[in-house]
Amino acid sequence: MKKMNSVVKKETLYIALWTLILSVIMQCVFLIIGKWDWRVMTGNLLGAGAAVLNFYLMCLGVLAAVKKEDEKDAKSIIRMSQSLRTFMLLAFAAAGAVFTCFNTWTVLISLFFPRIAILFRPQFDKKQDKKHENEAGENADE
Amino acid sequence: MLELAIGIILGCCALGAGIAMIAGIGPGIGEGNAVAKACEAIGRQPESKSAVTSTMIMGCAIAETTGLYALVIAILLIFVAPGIMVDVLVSAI
Repeated sequence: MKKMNSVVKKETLYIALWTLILSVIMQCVFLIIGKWDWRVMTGNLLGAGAAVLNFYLMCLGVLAAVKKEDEKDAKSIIRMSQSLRTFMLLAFAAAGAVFTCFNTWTVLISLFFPRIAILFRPQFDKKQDKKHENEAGENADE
Repeated sequence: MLELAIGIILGCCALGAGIAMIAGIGPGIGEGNAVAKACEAIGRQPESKSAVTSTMIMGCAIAETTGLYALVIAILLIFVAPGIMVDVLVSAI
């Protein structure tokens, strides 16, 4: 089996972790407003799974496109990847809307979790940069 | 008359969903251009490949959000809106 690229692994783990945190928050909100039932949970699982899978496939698509020497090839790869992923998301969202065992709203809300995770990314990067700077400063003092 | 009204509601919802999905074309074109420029940048500075790829992934995820909005609107128009609108129509009659 091919080894997973470190950048893809890091970014996907970051998104998956944030998706998990946001899923827990959403479950809590549904519990507080008194609308929680098992369909909320299954809808959340379907939506969050589709969102993380979409992000992972996008990472693979970008990686494959970046490896190409020709710009036109890279463009066509990423366009094809985007179209196929949109169809995949459409299928997941339609399944969430058609089958009664899923709550439609939780499926659709969960699809936006990676975007919310990226919103917090600058703060996370700043903290990491500060940590590296502090470590570098301590090493220089020694 | 009621059947005609329901037919018009269903037709308009389907039309709206189709029009909403036009927004799905934009991210593909945008991402394609961004990746093409990333290839150029990596070709110029191969040592920055990891940083460029990481930034590209985040940029692509942000660019895709518009397509996702369109997808959600289309799904709501196809599966949720017709039921609500028909209920409103029937209760009004």
